[in-house]
This record gives sequence, structure tokens and C-alpha cells, in this order.
Amino acid sequence: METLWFVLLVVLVGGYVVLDGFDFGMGILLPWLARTEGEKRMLYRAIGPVWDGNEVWLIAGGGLLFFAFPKAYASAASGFYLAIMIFLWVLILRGIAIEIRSQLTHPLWHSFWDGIFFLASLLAALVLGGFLGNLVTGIPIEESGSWFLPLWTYFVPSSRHGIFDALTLLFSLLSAVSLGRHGATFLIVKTEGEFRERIRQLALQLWKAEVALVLLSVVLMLSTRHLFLARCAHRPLGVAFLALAALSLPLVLFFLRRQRELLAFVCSSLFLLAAIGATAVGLYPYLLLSSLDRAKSLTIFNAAASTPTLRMGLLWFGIGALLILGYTFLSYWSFRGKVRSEGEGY
Amino acid sequence: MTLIYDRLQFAFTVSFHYLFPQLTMGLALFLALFQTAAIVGKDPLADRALRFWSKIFAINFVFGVVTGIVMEFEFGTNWSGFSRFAGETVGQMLAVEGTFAFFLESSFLGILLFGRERVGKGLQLLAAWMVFLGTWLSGFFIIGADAWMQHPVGYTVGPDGVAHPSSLWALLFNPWALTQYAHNMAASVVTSSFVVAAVGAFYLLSGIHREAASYFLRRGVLLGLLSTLLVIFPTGDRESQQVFAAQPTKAAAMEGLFQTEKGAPLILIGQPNLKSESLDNPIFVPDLLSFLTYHRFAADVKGLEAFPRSDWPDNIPLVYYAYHIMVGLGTVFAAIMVAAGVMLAAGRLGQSRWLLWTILLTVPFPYIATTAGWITAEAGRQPWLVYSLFRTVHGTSPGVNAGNALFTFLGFLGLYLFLGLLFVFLIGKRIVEGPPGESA
Repeated sequence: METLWFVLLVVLVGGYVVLDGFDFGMGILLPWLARTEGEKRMLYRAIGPVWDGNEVWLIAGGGLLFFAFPKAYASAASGFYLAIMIFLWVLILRGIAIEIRSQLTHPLWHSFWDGIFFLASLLAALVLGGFLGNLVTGIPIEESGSWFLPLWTYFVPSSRHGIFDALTLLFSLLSAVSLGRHGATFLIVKTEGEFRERIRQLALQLWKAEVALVLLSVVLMLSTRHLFLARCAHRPLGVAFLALAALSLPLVLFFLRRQRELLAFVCSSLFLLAAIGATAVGLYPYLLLSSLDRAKSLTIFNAAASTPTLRMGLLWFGIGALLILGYTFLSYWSFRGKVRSEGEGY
Repeated sequence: MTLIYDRLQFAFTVSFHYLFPQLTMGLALFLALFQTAAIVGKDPLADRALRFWSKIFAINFVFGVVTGIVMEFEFGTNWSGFSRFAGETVGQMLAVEGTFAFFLESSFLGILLFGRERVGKGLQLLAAWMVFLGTWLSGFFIIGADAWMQHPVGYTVGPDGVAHPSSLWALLFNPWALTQYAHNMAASVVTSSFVVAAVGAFYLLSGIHREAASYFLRRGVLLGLLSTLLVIFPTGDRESQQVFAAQPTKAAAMEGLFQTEKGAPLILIGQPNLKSESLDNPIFVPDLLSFLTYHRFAADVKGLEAFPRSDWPDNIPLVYYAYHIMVGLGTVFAAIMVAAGVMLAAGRLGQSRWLLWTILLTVPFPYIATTAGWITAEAGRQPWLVYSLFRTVHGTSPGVNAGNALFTFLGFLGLYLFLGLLFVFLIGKRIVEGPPGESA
């Protein structure tokens, strides 16, 4: 039962990263891509109708963590206090920027919100990567079970690091580059002509940086003999995810070169899902790994709600999950096709 | 020290957040009615009203969404002790809300706003009602979560010290929640009615957009008349009776009643004096509180002295003032709407400038009354996080210190000040631009 809820949680997190990930990516690329107001408007319109639906996945995921693994939710949210608050602040600013930008036609107004949107998206991607880094490297859960991480200490990786140290910053950078490239892959689907070609070139550049960062982090994790990769490699499902990741990333390049935009986006999403899946398999059954004492870690068993409650939850979540999938399909279907810069909206 | 910042931060972020959903939920009802009149009744004026108010709705909605995401995570960041205890109950209600209600509103809002040229009339009508349903369902689940903190039902506390729910239905249909929901939704229609009527009054007083203005004013006053009465009776009456029955310490603090009295007076004005444990400068109606509560003039009403001091709300004057502000304003709202309703029936509302001015100037007060009502409910619940079950001091996050909590509290103050100014500016701009022309 706990394992089932762990899988559901990973699916929601994966869905969130894939969907809101390209929103973040679009924000990160905004200043580098769009030269004219028309181009900017096209970028906003690509994500405008779907961004808040994408954030539903975060809300559902957060609610699920709160409900199914209350101790892990309590522990993680209070331990990552500052990073979570900053993440919430930048989500507020991003949402406001998208919706408010088109309310005035003044050029300074547009520039202001473009700047806010870029910075907030970049920060969001960096913080998201930092969370991933901390999940993998572990956190200093003390004897008493409580812990609190400052944002950074001396950036030296150790068992008592801050949220950001050299190693987790690598994950942050990887996250920003990866989501930027993912965003570009999505935007190619939504645009056409010379603009589309420019986005494609940028995606190809980012792909190289991404591969370099992926290799670097894998080498680092091998060299520190981190238990995480070893665990992953010993489990058939983990091997499958690693293989899928290793296969889908080159395929992104292949389809980008061949101008198969939709397939490139599918592979890009598969890569992110496979990376998250591999992380989950490597962690299982840990939710929060203690870097001080393995026995103090929170697992899906010692952090879960009681079994009758989890069974109770299946009832409504089963229906809810179908509705979420239906909604996500509906909103992408009704706003399918290329975006234009004329007309009403964003 | 941390506890104070934790409480201030939660109180501030949730009060600021709720400024938006109260208009969202009430206005969703107006939009659904406008859409129905426009499509079924083929009323072009209703269509203009829909287009004007849906733009305001959209701005209001996004402010509500972004400030709402904060709330879900603040339980864990600042109140991890509480989250461990109540994850299976309160956490479950929030998870249900996130999964069911939120995406219903956001998906159909997209169709309502941008679907005019894309989808058929039937789907547009459906979208308006689905947005209404989604926002009201959202409110239902959130009130359900709060109701479990006010009046915990359907649970057992296990040896692990965690509350385990016995059934989902017990959580969903907590009798407390149903009363509170009815009262709260009526209040949300009051807010939106005053907003809609006030914009109409503003245009009429300025002598512009006369046709649309009369339409707004009429609809605002009709729903306002209904909701200002409903918010007092039966919903407000029921709500206060359930507080007296189940939360006697909150009830005594609300009324400023220190001593248990036979034939308790209803206090109109007065200042609670915590030293002498009495009210200074009281103006009261003898026996009325006993009558309102138990429908007998001689009934006993328990004062605070009947309870141990450790169970008293820790901010009695705040609970007392908040409650009196809410009740006082609620009475004034009903009086204004009754007067406006009479003038409307006589066909003279458009000409009575003093009444239009009154409606226009009243617009901030429903927000104040609603906030005061929630302060009564939540500050009156103290010193408990879950009434009679779990104390607030046990709810905080042990790892988060005062320095970090104050840092983020100040951050929220700054960010929300900016958001508030932005909101007023954008809504003001929309109102000045006026409703769309007939041909548009």
C-alpha cells in the first residue's frame, strides 16, 4: 500500500516536472530567444492557457505528500524552509507576470514583467534542481528526528552542508539547462518559420551543455561511490529507467536534427521522466535519506499514514487521477496547434 | 518568539489570500447568471456584463491562485508538528481539494475567457456553471479542513499520537462544516454583490455607461438583499449557536462575557478589561444574549470564569472586537441593501444619489467584515490548533527558528504589499475603461 502511494507520488512529481518544466524553460530562454514584442507574445501564448493547469500537478503532489506521508511532508517542508519559501515566492511572481503582462501595452511594463518572469523561472529551476540534489545526497537528520538546512554554508559538500553546495549546485545547473532545453523543445512544437529555426538552433546548443552536465554528475556520483547509483543498477526497474534515460537523450538530438518536433518533445519528456524514475528507484524505500545515520532516514514505511487511511484515499484519488488526466488532455487539445502573435489573449 | 512569527505569518498570508477567493466565489455566481441570461435569455446587456466582469474575475482569480499555493505548503514549513498530527485528516481534505476542485475551475475558466470564438454556446454555458461549481466545491473542501480543526469528528488518536480518520464521509460531512460553509458562502455573495452594485453606482454617479450601470446595480442589489439577510439568518444565527454549544470559551470571548450570568446581556459597545475581568464603558441590552442563544431570557450563559485560564483564548480583546465588527457591519449591510431594494422596487434607486454614494463607499467593508469573521473563528479557537484536542504550541516546526520565520514573514509583507498595490491598480484601470461597447 505504501509502495503504491510512493509510485503515485512519483508520477505526480514527474508530471509536474515535465509540464511546468517547459514553462520554466520558456522563462529561462525568453531573453535569449525573443527579439520582438510579437515573438515574446508568441512565447507567452505557448504556455499561457496551460501554466496554471500544470501547477495543479504541484498542488496535487503537495497534497498527496501531506496526506500519504505526513511525517515526510512535515520534515521536508520545515527542513527546506527557506528554499521552499523562495520557491513559493518565485511561483507567485511567475504566475502574476504571465497574467498581468498583457494588461498594459506600455513597453516598460512589458520589459519589467519579462525581467521578473525570466529571473523567477531561472530561480525556480535552480531551486528544483537543488531539491533533487539534496534528495540524492541526503540530509542531516539528527538524533531527535528534526533538521533544518540553511541555504548554504561554505559550498563544500559534507554531511552537514547547506541546501546548496558544490554538488547540489551541479544539480541546480543541470536542472536549469535541462529544463531550458526541454522548454525549447516544447516551443518548437508551438512555433513556425524562422523563429522556430532559431529556437531549434538554441535547443541543439543546450543539448550539448546538458549532456556534458549529465556525464559530469554521473562521474561524480560514481567517484563518490554513492549508494544511490548502485542501488539503482541492482534493480531491474532501475536499469530499465537508466537505459531509457540513456536512450531518450540521444534521441532528442536525433529528432531535433531530423526536424521531427513532436517526437523530440516526447523523447525529452521521456528523458525527464526516466531520470526521475531512476532517482525514485534508487531512493526506494527512502523518502529522505539521512547523511548522518542511515537508520534515522525517513522511509515510505515509517513516514506513511496508517493503512486504513491510505486505503480510504485510493477511493477518491482513483477518480481524481482520471479527472486530472482528462483535464490535462482537454486543455492541451483545445489549445493545440501553432501560436500566432495577433488577436486576443496573453 | 518563533511561535508568534509563525502565527503572524499564517494569519497574514491566509487573510490576504482570502481577500481574493471571497470575490471569486461570489462573482462566479454572477458570471453563471449573466451567461445564462445572455445565452438562454439572449440578453445583449447580460453578455456585456459577462465580458466586463469575466476580465475582473480573471485578474482576481490569478491573485487567489498564486497566494493559495502558499497556504498548502505553510502547514509543513511552519506547522510540521501539526502536519504530523493531522496529515490524515486535514491533509486529506487539502489533497482532495487539490485533486478535484482546483483543476475544475482552472480548466473551465480558460474556456470561459478564451472560448467565445472557439466553442459553441452550450459549452460556454456549461463552462460558466462549472467555474461556479469548481470554486464553490473548492470552498467546501477548505471549510471541511478548517471545520475539523474547529470541531474534530470521525477520528481516533492512535498510540502513535496521530489522528486517524474513521471514514471519509465523517470528514466531508462534518456538521460543523455545513453550517460554516453556508454562512461563509452567503458572506462571499455579500462581498461580490457590493462590488457589482458599487461599480454600477460609480458609473451612474459619474453619468457614464448608464445602461450597463443600471444592470449591474439591479443585479447587485437583488443578490445583495438576499445574501445580506441570509448571512444573518439563518446561517449566522446557526453558526453562533453551534459556537455556544461546542466552543464555550470562544463564545464567551466573542461576547466579552467574563462572569456566568442568568439573563446575560447583549453587549453593543464596550472594551474588555483583562485586569478587572469585566467590560469598560458597556452599552448593552439586558437578557438579550440569553434569548438569542437559548431562546429564553432567563437562560444561563457561561462566562470565561467557568473555564480554566489555560483554556482561554490568548487574545480575548481581538476575538471580542473582531466579532463585534463582523456583526455590526453585517447589520449595516442588510440595512443598506433593504433600503436599496425598496428604492429599486419604487424605481427611484438610480436617482437617489445619497444611496448610490453609500453603496459605493461601502465596498471595502464586506472584506473587513469577512476578515473579522475569520479572525473571530480562528483567534477564538486558540489556545487550540484543533479545538480541545491539540494545542497550538505543539504545532510548530522545531527546526525553524525565529530569525528564519521573521525573515519569511517580512518577505511576505513586502511581496503582498506589492501584489495588493498591483491588484488595486489593475482593477481600477479596468473599471475606468468601462464595460465593452454594444458592437464589440
